[in-house]
Amino acid sequence: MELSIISEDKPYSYVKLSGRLDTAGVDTVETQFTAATLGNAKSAVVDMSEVDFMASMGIRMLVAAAKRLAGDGDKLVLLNPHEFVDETMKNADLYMLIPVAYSEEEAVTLLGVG
Amino acid sequence: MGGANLSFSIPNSLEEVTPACCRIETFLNEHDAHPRVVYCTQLVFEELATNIIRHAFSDDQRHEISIGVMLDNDSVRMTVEDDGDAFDPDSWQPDSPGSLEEAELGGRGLLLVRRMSDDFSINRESDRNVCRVKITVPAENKEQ
Repeated sequence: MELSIISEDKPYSYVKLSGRLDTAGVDTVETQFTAATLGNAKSAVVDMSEVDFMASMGIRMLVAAAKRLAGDGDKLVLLNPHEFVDETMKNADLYMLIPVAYSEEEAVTLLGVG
Repeated sequence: MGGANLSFSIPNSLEEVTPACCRIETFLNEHDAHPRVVYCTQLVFEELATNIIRHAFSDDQRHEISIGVMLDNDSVRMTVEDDGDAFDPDSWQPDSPGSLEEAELGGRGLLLVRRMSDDFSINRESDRNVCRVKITVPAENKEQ
């Protein structure tokens, strides 16, 4: 599991996760993910296109970040999740709470920062 | 694609879960299982195994978790057995949050097991928890 910073120059944090977002993956990346999404006092876009597997621990990490951002009036948007990762979010009953976008333009619209 | 079986066991350590998931993934891919079946089988195993390791054992001893995966045509039947404390999955009900503020951080694992499998049961047999799961390819995915 890896995290990369796509851009630091946008009015939102823009990061990308790659690999398996399972228990071991969360252990590897959670501290870095939390700093990258919550440390900038702005909303966040998380590119999920290279996450090929996500379990409930991965969902927990995303929900924790989204809850903290919401507490400050900010949002977290997931970008381009894999088909089965998307299905996992829906089946966890959290799909309506964390918006999903299929282009950066759509993500910006959902964040309301464009 | 014919029938194929995989059986192995892991100790009750969270570090063993991802390698076991990858072993299941490799086995299913080698036998040309449908990608959705490969994904769902891994997900269901990950959730069951982590729940067992975190909650089933009230001592610090080493325990074995036994896994059986049977692939037949478009379906997987998986068994996961442990010798931990009895567990009734019906005793647990997930919340259905209406907002992020209401959402609990955890507790989604068994919900995913139920919704991403076709049959799911846990029975107490000879002082062991025996979980049986069936995962099939939905009709709309069969052409993939």
